[in-house]
Amino acid sequence: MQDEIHTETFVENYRSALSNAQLQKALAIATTKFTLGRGMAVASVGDEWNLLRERAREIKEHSIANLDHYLGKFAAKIEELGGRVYWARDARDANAYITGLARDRGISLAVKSKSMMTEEIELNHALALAGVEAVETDLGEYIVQLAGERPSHIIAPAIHKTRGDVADLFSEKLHVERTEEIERMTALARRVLRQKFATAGLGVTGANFAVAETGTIVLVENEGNIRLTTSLPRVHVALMGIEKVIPRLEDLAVFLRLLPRSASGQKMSSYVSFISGVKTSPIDEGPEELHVVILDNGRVDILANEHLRESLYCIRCGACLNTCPVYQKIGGHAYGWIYPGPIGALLTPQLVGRERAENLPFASSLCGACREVCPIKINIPDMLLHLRHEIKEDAAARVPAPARASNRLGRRLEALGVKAWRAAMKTRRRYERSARMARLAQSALGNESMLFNRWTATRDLPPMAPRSFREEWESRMLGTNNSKDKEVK
Amino acid sequence: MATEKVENTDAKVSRSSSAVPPASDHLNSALIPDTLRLESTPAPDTRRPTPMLSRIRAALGRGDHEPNPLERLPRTYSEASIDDRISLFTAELCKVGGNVEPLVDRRSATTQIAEMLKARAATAVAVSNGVESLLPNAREYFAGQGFQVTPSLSEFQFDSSSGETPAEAYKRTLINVDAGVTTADYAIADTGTLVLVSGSEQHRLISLVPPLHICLLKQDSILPNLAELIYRVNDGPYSKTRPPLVMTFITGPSRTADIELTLTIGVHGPRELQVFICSQ
Repeated sequence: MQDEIHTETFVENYRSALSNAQLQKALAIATTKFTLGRGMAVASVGDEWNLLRERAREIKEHSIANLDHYLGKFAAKIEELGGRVYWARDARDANAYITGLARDRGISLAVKSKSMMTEEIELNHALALAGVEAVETDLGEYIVQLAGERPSHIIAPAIHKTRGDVADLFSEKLHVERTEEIERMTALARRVLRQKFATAGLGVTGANFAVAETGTIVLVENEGNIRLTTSLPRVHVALMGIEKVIPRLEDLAVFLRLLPRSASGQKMSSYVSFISGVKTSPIDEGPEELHVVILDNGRVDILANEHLRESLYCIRCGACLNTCPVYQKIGGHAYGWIYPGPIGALLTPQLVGRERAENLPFASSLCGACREVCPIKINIPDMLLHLRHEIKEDAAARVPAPARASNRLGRRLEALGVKAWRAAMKTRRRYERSARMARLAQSALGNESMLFNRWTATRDLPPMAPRSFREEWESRMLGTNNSKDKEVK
Repeated sequence: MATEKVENTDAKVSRSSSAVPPASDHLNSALIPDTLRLESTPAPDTRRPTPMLSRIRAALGRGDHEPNPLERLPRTYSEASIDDRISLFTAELCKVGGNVEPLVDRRSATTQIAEMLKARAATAVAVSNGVESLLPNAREYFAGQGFQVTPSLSEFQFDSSSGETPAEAYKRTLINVDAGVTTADYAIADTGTLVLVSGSEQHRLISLVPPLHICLLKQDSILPNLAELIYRVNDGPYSKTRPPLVMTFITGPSRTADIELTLTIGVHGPRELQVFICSQ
C-alpha cells in the first residue's frame, strides 16, 4: 500500500509533469473548460450564490462542531432502517470488514462507483488480494483502472488522457478494433460493464452526504453507474468519512445547488439518489443488505487541531483544482497521492503524515483563488500557511543535536534579517536610505551574486530601477531637479 | 497509509479486524441473518457511544449535550404560474438533452407512447405500477399493440429448479428491454428535473436499465425549484417513520465527459429521455 504514496518525490513529480507537453495541453484545455463552465453556472444564480455559500458554511461548521451527536443519530437511524453500521478506525480495518463480508457471502465480483474514500484505503487492492474482482464503473475510473494508473482529478479521473490514449488502451485490453470515436468507445465500455453489473454480488459506493435526521445516503452522478451499483447487486456497501454527515434533509436544498455548479458547471447533475435503508419485502427492488462503513482514517486528528479543522468542510467538488495556478501547470499526479490541487496540498500531509508530504503546503502561491471559488468558503491559504509553520517547527525539532547548532545559526540570521527589514521600513527616511544602499550593493555585487544564488536559482532578481518611483515622480511632475537627479541623467 | 497511527484507545475494534476478518466477533455478528440476530445479539444501544464517537467528542472538547438546533432554512415562495413552470421545466430539460411533450391528454399519451416505440423498432417494454394508476390498462394496451410487456416484480415467482429469486429473474428480464415507462412524483422547473419516489411505484430499474425512458408527469406536480421540492418531501414522505427507500432525481439522459471532456450521451443509463406532461 505504501508504494501508492509518491508525495516524497514531489519535486521530481512536478518537474516531469512540466516537461510533458501532452499533459500540459490536456491540463490547459480541461482547467479552462471547467473554470468557464463553473463561472456560467454560478452567474446563473446571481447574488444568491454568496448567500448559499454562507449557509453551507454555517451548516458544515455546525455539523462538524457537533459531529459525535449527528454521526450517532445517523448510525442509529441506519440501523433502524435495516442497514448495518461499521465504525472503521483506519484503512486496514475497513478493508478487512469489506473483504470479510464478500468472502462470507461468497461474492467474487464487485462493481464500484467512483469514491475518493475507496481510493484512500485502496479497497480494490484489498479486494483483489481476497480474490474478489473489483470493477470501476465510472467511465473515467474504468479507463484509469484498465491503464493501471490512478485518477488525476477528483471529478474527471482520466483528464490526463487523450482520446488516442483511450483508443490504444481499449484495443489492447478489451481486444477490440481500435477506434478514436468517443461515442463508440463509450458504447463499448457500456457493453462490457453491463455484463459486470448483471453478475456482481456486491456494489460499492461512497457517499456525498449522509443525512442524520432521516438516515439517508445521498449520491450525485451523471452516468447512471451509481444507480446501477446501488440497485442491481444483492449487497450494497457505502463508505464515508466521518465528516460527511449533515443534520437535516432540508440542508440538501443548499448543498445540491452548490455541488454540481462548482464541480462540473451543471445546474443539476443527471442523477441524484437519496437512499434510506434496505428493502423490507422480497418484492421490493434493490439490495437485500446495506452496510455503511464510517471511517476515521486520520480525520479525528484533524478534528482535534483547531487551526485545521476546517479542512473537513470539503465536499470534494474539485473547483479549487481547476482554478489553482499550480494545479493548472503540474496536474494531479504530481501531488503524489489521491487528493490533488489546493485541497490535496492541505489534506495529504494531514492524512499520510506531515513528514511524508512536507513539500505540498509550499506548492501554493497563496493567491487565494481556491478560497474564492470554494462553495464552503474554506480558507485553504490560511491553513496552508499554518501547516507550513507546523512543518517547519516539526523539522526543527527533528534535527539531531550537532546539526541543531548550525540550524540555530541559520534561524538567528533569518531573525536578524527580519529585524533589519522591520527597522528599515519604520520611517520614510530610513526606507529611502536603505533602498539607496541596496541599489549600490546590487550594482557592486552583481545580480547573480553568490549571496542570492539560492534565490536566483529558481527566480529572477530584477535589477532595481536607477531611481525610485518617488524620485521619478518629483522630477517629472513637480519639476524639482535636485542634484541627485542630475547625476543619474 | 494512516495505519501507523494506530495507538488505539479502541483497540478491540481495529485489531480484531486486521488480518483475519471472518473469525472476529464483530464481523460475525454482522453476518448472522436478521431473524437469528434478533435473538442472539441485543439491539444496538444508542445511548452508549461507540469508541469512535467518544474519541470524536474528546477531539472536539465537547460535552454530551444536545446541540442548539440550526435555524430552519427560509421557505422560498415562487409566484410562477403553472404555465410558467411548464415552460421553464420544458426549456431546462431540453437544454440537457431531454424531450418534453407538454400538455398531453391522458388517453392520447398511451397512443403517442406506442407510436414512439414503433418508430424506434422497440419490441419489449416495461411499465411501472404507477403508470397503471395514471393510464389504466396501459399494460394491456401495449400488449395488444404487439409489444412484449414485462410483468411487475410482484408477478415473478421463485424458481425452485434454478434457485433464482423473483428479484433476480426481474433484473435478468429488464436487461433486455428496449424501453421503460414510469411516472414521476414531482418535477423541478428551474433545473428540468424529474423526481421519482419509490413506494408502490417501482421505478428504480425501469427508469434506468432500458435505453429509452418515457416518463409521465402530472402538470400540477411541477414545483418551482429544489428548495420547494425538499420542503414538500421533508414534510411529506420523509416525515414518516420510514422514509422512502429511494428517491431519484433525473435531469436529462445519462451522460459523461470523461474522455477529453467531450459530452457523450447514454453511457450507463438511458440514451433518450422522453417526458409527457399530462394535462388532467
